[in-house]
Amino acid sequence: MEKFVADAKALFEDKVRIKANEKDMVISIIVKSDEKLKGTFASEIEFKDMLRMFGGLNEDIAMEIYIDDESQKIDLKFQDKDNYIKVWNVLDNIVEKIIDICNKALAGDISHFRDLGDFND
Amino acid sequence: MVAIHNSENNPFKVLDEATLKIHYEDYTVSSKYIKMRDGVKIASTICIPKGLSAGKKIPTLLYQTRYWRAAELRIPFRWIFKETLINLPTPRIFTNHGYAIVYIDVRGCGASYGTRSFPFSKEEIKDGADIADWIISQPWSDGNIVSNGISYPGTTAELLGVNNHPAVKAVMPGHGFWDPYTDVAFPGGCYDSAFMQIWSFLGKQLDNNNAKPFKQLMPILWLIMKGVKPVDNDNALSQLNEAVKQHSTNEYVSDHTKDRDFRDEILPDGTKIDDFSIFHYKKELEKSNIPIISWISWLDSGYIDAAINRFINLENPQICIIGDWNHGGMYIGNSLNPSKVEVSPTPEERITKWIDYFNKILYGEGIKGKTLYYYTMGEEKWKKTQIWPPNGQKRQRWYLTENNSLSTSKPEEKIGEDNYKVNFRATTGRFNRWWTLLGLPIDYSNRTKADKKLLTYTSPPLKENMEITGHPIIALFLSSTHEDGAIHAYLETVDESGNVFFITDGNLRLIHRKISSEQPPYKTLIPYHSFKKKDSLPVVPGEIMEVKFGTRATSALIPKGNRLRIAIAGADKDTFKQYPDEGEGKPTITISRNESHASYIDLPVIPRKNK
Repeated sequence: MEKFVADAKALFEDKVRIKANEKDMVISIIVKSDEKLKGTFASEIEFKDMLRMFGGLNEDIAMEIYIDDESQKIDLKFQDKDNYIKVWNVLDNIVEKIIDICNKALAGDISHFRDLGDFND
Repeated sequence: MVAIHNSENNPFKVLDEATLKIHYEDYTVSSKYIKMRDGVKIASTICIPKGLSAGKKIPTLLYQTRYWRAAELRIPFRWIFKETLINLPTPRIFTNHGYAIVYIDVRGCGASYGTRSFPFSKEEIKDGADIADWIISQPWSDGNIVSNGISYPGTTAELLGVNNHPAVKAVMPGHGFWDPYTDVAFPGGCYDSAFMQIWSFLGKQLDNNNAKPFKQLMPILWLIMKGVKPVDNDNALSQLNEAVKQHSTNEYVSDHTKDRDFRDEILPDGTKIDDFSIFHYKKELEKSNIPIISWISWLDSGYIDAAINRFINLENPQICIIGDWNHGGMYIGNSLNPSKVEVSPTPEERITKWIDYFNKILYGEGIKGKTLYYYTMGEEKWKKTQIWPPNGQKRQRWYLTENNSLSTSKPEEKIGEDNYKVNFRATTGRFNRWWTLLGLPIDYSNRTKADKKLLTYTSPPLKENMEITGHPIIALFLSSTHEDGAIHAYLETVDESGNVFFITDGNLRLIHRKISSEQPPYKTLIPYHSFKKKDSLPVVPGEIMEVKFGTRATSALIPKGNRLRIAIAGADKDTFKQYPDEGEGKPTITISRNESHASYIDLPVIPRKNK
């Protein structure tokens, strides 16, 4: 499983693009893949879980979430600049946060997970 | 031939050059239901080498599990990994070498339909034949199937052979049982309540498609997966939900066993625990004559004896490998060499060797006869034998004597005994040979402290190195104040600094102490206790009885200057049910060590050549 973390980091960097359009207050997550991913690309509840569990975003931020299964793209649209900045700050380094949490999980650091809450999905 | 490890007799040492050739770089994944003879739909995930040319036929590795054949990953992991991520090590090793893989959720589990009353049912075994029929009808199949797995999937692999399906060419049970009563549920007749309860609980959660329990036990799995993978195109999860609903009537082993004591007790559906043993299918397995490649480790539960019993009882061509790792081979498991931290071989090296064996069976000279490779802990050396016990093994008797000593001289005193008030807080902890069945690491480094709660007997320093390989046998003359009880005995070694190292252990519930004169259900190398109700003997308080039992097998080199130790407990609180029950008080056990009742341990010693 240790190799999983190294692979995950490289694959995130290769396949997942996170772009911010500050002017329009839109953040886009685009997943590149050779073939269209099977099954559900993402759901809104899963996405919010990801921000909370891996990004530590515990407050309910007002944003519109548009998920496009075909283009494998998620657009987040904000009306409030502060909200936009909060989410961008989470997503900007979310890969590092995910890798850090995975490393703790692999080390069996259960205490860390006690406070992490749970997934809603 | 290419040497990858430089130790003589290391089974992982040599690979055929053809095995090192990589034919493919990636694999495709699809998932569908396969209909069984009775209409039950079984979920499969199929991995095919990417770029396999039209018309090209390849062999298939069949892997049948009750722990989810593939996972529905959470985002963002789902975006970058295949659903086979949970199958370790990666399926890519097999597909790159030109094998297809078919992962199966056994009936009543994962995304498969159906229900189950107990593991390894006859219907579950027959499903293997139906799945084999389906595999060889696929355009990519060359008609050859091999099967492997670790733990539960290891046993399904072995039981696939029971069907005598002509396409099945080899099976590879990794860390699988032989006799579920003694190997896992009731070692020495003592109920392994910890494992049976946790395993049943986890099984129930998995069958309900619930990943939450992994949060505590294996947090990484909880983080990355949300449930079992539905089959392709079941995006609305209607089929998955229907299948999971059927699992609601599943039954679990802890419900069937928690209030039981005897091997021959009938389970609610009319079966007995022996009905899903491997030895129950000896005739069918031998008829198939398929090669069996089994692998195990010295410190894995009672499964170590499963490997040896399989080796000595089945006439099939066999390779048996016994190493120093935990259940499943992800971590080191060597109580005599705490400085060794890396498991060897690595999981990737191990799988590559399995491909080497399968290639040999499918395309080469096959496997002839029986060979057992074993690793001697402490000596850190691989050895090879065609028979078990190995040639040259001699029995060396050590008596329990005065002043808590062990001696090769029989006591001559008319009177000699030691009292021990059972400490129900005594434990081998939660990283012992039993808890590793959950995939946990093995750690016996607590023995110096743990022995303070036990009755111990220690030898003088050894004058020469001593190799112990085989099953030590313990014979205790003892009396107890209570009608029920258990003995847990640990064979250990103490170094010159007083550090205590675990070698192996054995245990016996006292009501099972009768050594049966009946024919055992299979050949055994230790005193035969039937564990049947008719042979149970309540303890008569105050009356001396002989309690003789084997420990789990081992291979260990004890260095000159170290001492041997027998440590005796009446409980192992974190693992086994307590005998007698809570509320009946603590028994005092009196161990006799005198001329007429000389308690001892017989060690299987391999004489060392002077070096």
